[in-house]
Amino acid sequence: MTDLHEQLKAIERTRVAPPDLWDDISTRRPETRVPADAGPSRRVVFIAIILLGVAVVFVVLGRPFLGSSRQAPLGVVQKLPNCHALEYPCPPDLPPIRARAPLVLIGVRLEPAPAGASPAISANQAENSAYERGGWGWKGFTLPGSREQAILAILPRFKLPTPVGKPQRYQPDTLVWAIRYSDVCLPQRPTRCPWNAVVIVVGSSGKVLEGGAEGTPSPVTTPRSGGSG
Amino acid sequence: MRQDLEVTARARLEALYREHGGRLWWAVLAYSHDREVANDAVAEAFALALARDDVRDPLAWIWKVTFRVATRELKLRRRSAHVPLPDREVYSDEEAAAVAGALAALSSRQREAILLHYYGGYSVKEVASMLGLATPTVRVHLHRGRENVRMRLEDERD
Repeated sequence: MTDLHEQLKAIERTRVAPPDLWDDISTRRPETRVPADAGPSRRVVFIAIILLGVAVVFVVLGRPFLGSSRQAPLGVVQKLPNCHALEYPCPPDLPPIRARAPLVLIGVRLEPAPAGASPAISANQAENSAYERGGWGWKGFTLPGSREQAILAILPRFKLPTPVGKPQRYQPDTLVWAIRYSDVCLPQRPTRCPWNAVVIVVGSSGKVLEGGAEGTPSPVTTPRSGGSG
Repeated sequence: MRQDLEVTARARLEALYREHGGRLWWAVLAYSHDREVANDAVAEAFALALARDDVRDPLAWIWKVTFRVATRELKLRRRSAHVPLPDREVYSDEEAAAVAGALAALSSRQREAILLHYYGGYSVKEVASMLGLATPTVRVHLHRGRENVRMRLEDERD
């Protein structure tokens, strides 16, 4: 109906012409309160304040959970430990490297990290996180390996923690540090060496995703003790 | 100096009134079907514009405020069982009364959107800003309003 413009002109055909209201306008004291069209309306400002308040409450209430047994979101940098301050000595450290080709560690397939990929946490922070949380700092793992090295790689897919009864969810292409410990001895009975232990740490947060050991160890009678370097 | 500016602003607003006041009055009359509401809304909107200097686009602002004042007035009058004049006593011919009658059958929002867009000449985006609605919502009001006006006018012809 393109002629609605034209049809609406008919509303100008009134029996009475529009009155001259200028005198009334000039002397009138307006009673209506209307905001100017400059700047945001009161409603927008009100909604913005409410949203800001909700965000602040969420952050303040959420903070205590970050260090507790609740799992923090993968993208949030966790409070990272310093392994030198822990009871168990750090193993000697090799410089961190980037994975140049696909590799499989403790059964987990990793892809090379893209050239420009840069994790939020450093290799050193990831090593500390792995040391404390990935099993290395657990009571049973008191025997450091001969060396430790962080490898930056992409974990193509891993299963996210999901509440019971919910469908499984997967996180694709996550930048991770794979912390590899060589020649680890585990205090089994009898103690066995050497194992290669690996702990996979999320590069954006320091969260430990996976840890384990692989190798063909054999029993040893006298396990090594303390840091060797 | 300030007095000069006020005189200039007043003169500019009077020129605006002389040029657009009539169209605005007809639009509000078609919106409210009440001459008193039209008079009051137009006068109040221009008086408000006269009292302030922080309005960027005075004409668009006046259109917006006029409809807002008219809506408020209509609500007040409905409470007091006020009965507006029938269209055929307000308009001088059958066609004008039919168009006004078709507009009267629309919802308040549809009527506002149709009058601001098709009669006031404002774009859909401007109408959305004036009414404080999202652009797609205004499009829906315009579409439904157009259809309703078309059907009413066809019924009138039959």
